[in-house]
Amino acid sequence: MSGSLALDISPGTSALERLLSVVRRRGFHVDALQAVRNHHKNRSLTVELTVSGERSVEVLSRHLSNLADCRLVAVHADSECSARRAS
Amino acid sequence: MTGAELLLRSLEAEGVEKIWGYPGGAIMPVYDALLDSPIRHYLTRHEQGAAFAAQGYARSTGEVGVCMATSGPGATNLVTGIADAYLDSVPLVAITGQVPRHLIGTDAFQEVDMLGITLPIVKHSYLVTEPESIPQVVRQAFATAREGRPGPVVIDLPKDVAQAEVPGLPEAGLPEKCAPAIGLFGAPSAATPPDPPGADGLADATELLRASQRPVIYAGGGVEKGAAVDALRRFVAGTGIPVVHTLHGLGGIASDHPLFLGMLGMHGTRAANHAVQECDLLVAIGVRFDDRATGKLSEFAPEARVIHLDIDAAELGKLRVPHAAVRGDLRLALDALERSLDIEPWRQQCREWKQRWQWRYDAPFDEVYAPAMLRQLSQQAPSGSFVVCDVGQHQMWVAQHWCFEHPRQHLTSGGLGTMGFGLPAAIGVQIAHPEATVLNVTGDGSILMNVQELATIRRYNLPVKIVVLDNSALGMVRQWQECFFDNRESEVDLSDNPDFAEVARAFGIPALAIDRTQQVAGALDLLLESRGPMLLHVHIDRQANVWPLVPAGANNSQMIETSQASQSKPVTASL
Repeated sequence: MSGSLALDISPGTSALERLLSVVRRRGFHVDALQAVRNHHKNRSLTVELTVSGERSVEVLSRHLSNLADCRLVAVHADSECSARRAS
Repeated sequence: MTGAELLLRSLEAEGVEKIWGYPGGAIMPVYDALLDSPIRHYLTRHEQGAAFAAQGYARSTGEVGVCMATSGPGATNLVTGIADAYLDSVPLVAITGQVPRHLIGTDAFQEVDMLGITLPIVKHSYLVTEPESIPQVVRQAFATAREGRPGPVVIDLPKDVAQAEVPGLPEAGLPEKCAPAIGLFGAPSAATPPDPPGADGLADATELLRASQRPVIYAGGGVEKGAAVDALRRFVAGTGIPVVHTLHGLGGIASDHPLFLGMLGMHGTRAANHAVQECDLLVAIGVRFDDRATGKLSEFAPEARVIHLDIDAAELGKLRVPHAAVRGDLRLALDALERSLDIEPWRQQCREWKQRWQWRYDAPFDEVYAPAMLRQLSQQAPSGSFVVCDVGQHQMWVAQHWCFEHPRQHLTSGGLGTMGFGLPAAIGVQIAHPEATVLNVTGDGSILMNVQELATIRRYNLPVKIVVLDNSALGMVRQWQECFFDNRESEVDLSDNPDFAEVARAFGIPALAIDRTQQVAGALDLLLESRGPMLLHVHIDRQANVWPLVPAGANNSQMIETSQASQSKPVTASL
C-alpha cells in the first residue's frame, strides 16, 4: 500500500526528524520527500511525502496528526483524499 | 532572575508542588534554585526511581508528574520511566540537564542527545535554546502531557540556559496555570474539554447496539484516563451488557459486579475470553487491541461487529477496523448511546459461564498459595487502598484475584511491562496520598531492580507496605520455559536470593517472613496495622504457575490450565 501525504509542520527543533521517526516506526518506507520552508506562514515547513508499507496510510496520517509539530495532514491515497487538522 | 529560577517559577505556575529527582553537574543551577522554591523535592536513589515515583504520583492523581535528572547518565536513567509512561499514557514531564549550548555536539562530558534518544517515546520534547522561552516551553509541555491522550514530555535544559540572567521577567510574563483537562477521579475542570463525539459514529453505534443479541463491553485504561468511569457504570447499569476489562481497565466496574466477567486475554478468565469469542458485538471503550488482550488478532471475537470509542483517532482502525468509530469525549459518547436492549438470554449465559469457571482458593497444601493470599489481602485492606505491582507472575495474580474498586487504585506497568516499577511508583502514590494504605506487591526478581528505593521510603518515613512473593526464580519466564521451551530452564534460578526481611531491616524498615498458609492471616494483620513502612517476605512454591494461559499466537479460546511438564498443583492453581 502506498500513498502521499501533504503536511504543514512547525519549524521547531527536530520536527522533521520526529515526523520521519513516526513514519518508520509505524511500518512505512519513505519513497519520496520534499520539504520547503514557507516564509509566509510562520516559517513552517510544507512537506510532501510518499510512503509505502503494509498498513493503512489513513491510520499513519492519524499518528502524524498527533504530533505536536503537525498542523495539517492531508492524505492522497489512490483516489481517496482527505484532510485532517491536527488536534 | 536566572533561567533556573524562571523554570521553577514556571513550574509553580503550573501548580507543581512535588518533584522527584537526582542532582548532578548540568542540572546543578536548578537544584541551587530549588533551595529558594516552595516546590518540594524528593531525592530518590536512582533516576529511574524518580521517573517511576513521578509516575506513581501522576497515575494516582491524574495530575502531571515531574521528574528531574542531570545530563548524560542521569538523563538516560530516566528513559525507561519515560518509555513506560508513553506506553501507558501517563502525563509526565521529565526535566533533564544538558551541557552548555556551545558544547552540544562536541561529545562533551556527560553529553547525550536526550532529545534524539527519546523521540519515539514522548508526546513531545524540547531543547531549550533561549532562556526567555522557558515559561512558554513549560506551559506547552504541561498542556501536551495532560491533554487528549496523556503522555510524557521531555524538557532538555542546557546548563548555560539555566545560569543565564533573564532580564526582569514580570509576573504577567509567566504563563497562566493550565488546569488539568480532567480532574481527580473524573471531576471535570475548567480546562479545554475533549472533543465531543461525532454524531455519525454515535448513530452507527446505536444501530449496532439495537441489532445485537450478544454484546460484550471490552473496556480499558482509556476509561479512567478519560474520566469516564462513572459514565461506563451508568452505561452498564442501563444496558446490562456483560463487561470484560483489560489490565488497565480493572476497576472500571467493581470486581464484584454481577456483570463483570473478569480480565480478558493471555491470563484472563475463561468466562471473559469465552464471552468475547462468542459475542456478536464488541463495544470497545478506551482500548488499543493490545496483543496481550486479543491473542491472535485475526481470530479475536470472530463473530463480532465492533464499536470502538476512543479519545485518540490513531487507535481507531489501527489493529481492527471498527464498524462504528467514535472519537472524542468518552463520557459524552457513553451517555449518548442506546440503552434499551433485550439480551437477557445472553446475560444468563454469561452468568452461567462465570459461575461455572469461578476461581477456587481451596489449596490443600501447606505452602502459601499466592492467589488466595492476595485475595485475602485485598479484602482486608481498607477501602480506598492502592495496590502497586511490579511485573511478573505476582502482577497477573493481582489482576486476577484483587477486589478492585477503581482503576486509579491499581498501578501496574502494562504496556512496557517494566520490572522495578512497583517500589518507586508506590513511593509516588504514598506521597500523593499520605493517609491512604499503599501496598506494593512485588516479586523476588522485580524488587531487586530498584531495591535502593527502600532508602527513599526510610528517608521520608513513608508507610508503604511491601509484599515480596519469593519463588526463588524469575517465575513468569520459568513458567514459559516450562510450557513452551520443553522445561529447559535458562537463567531463571534465583535460589541465591538475599533474605529480603534482613535487607529491609538493613534499610531501617521492619520486616517479617512467612512460608506457611497458617501464618498468612496473622502476617496480613500485622502488615495492615503497622503505622510505618513494613516488608512482608512470602516464600511460595517455586513451581506455582499463573493459569489460565493463552499461548502467544493462539486465539483466546485456546487457554491452557496446566503444562504437560508441570508437576505443580494444577487443580487448585487453576480456575
